[in-house]
Amino acid sequence: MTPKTNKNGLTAFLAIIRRDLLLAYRYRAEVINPILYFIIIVSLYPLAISPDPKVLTKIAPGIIWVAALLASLLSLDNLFRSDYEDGTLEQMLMSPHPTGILVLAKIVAHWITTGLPLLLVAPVLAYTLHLDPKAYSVLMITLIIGTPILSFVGAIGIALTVGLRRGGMLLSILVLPLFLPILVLSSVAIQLAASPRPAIAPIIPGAWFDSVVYLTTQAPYSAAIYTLSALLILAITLAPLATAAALRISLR
Amino acid sequence: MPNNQKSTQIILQARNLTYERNDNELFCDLNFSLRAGEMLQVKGANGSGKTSLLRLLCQLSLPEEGTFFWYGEELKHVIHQYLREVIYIGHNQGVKNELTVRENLNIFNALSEQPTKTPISQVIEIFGLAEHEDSILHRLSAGQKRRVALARLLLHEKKLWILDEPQTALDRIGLSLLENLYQQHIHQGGMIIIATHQPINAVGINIKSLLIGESDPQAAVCE
Repeated sequence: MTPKTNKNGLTAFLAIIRRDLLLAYRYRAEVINPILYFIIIVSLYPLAISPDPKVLTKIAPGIIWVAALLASLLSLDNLFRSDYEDGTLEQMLMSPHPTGILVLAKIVAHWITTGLPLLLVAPVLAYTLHLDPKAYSVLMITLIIGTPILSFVGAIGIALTVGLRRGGMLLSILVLPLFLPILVLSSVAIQLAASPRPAIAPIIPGAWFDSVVYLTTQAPYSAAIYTLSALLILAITLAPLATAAALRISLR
Repeated sequence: MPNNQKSTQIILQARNLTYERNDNELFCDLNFSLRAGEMLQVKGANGSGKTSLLRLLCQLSLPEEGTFFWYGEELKHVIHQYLREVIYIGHNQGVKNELTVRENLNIFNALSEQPTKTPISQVIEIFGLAEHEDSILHRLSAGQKRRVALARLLLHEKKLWILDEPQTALDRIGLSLLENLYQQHIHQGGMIIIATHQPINAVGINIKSLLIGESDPQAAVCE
């Protein structure tokens, strides 16, 4: 335990989250931008392909996930850019607190301002795309697990390109391949949930344990969700360290 | 001087520093040392590598060759103790335009490990920012922003101040405030490394100077 007079990493962690949320609040337009982008991409598909509910039901999981992925790629660009430009990043790297903790705070704040709003909009968009009602819960589960992975993995890429004048293009090339497994696993899970096999066991009062067992072990999509969860844990533990190292390299 | 005895021990030392940027050797075989209560002014033409040297000292970049020593130990072994004792105010001042004066100082306080030396409201007062405490930096002038950045110097007890052109945009009052700060810090046994062309009018301080770049006679050693 550190002495009471000393501030520990948690203080710095919370202070950075609070600062970034405050900045997001002052710059509301930048927060709304990715969400708007998300809504626009999703709403273009029915216009371009077909408004036929049968077609839309089939492609809805893919559309929502592609849009979520692009929206999060768009928002990532802002993660370290302003900190880099005004010198705050240098101050963060010079802080005696572990850089990984400070980076973790930045990513968490970033997810709260960009990932969380996607979660709120997604069910509405899914409804407009006639997503199978059985698949809603799985859609939300994949978004809850998947969008933080996008933020964590994307942070590494943005940290590597932050010093470059035009890093946007490089960022997409660098990060998109890493996003693909998440895209594939998530949309497969949603499609499996929407498939004719019962996605959720009939919930019998008193036998809730059976339903939980079914959901976690026997449902056709549980393997995908487990893999996603494993990836999330991997990302939370390793990405902040990799991002911190990448930032040091970028500033050199 | 009261700090005569303290000033015998070399606290920070740089040995044989060589730094390149884009295959261009900016300085080579640079040596200097700093004792408690000493001030070092880094001079040199534009582009001679003053800022690069300060960034090396901040461990933000790495030299091609050479080592720093902190209390006689190699810096990379005592990096945590070192970073606790260092404050850097660079050209990019590390303050957020979208936050108020107080919010900026609060976040800086949280990033440090030490308890505050002077309460934040008092620091704001000393720097003449009391009226602007809750205004967003975006609305302040360049000189006022500079004051917010410099206000961080008083927040914590830091041994070594690393300043890159700190007097930029400051008015006469701001400048004399800054010079007072130098004097106080040096008399308390602190150290200052400052990169600037301008002469520093701080009475009672011995200022060592370090010339880097082509006009340096040492530069002849470089190829």
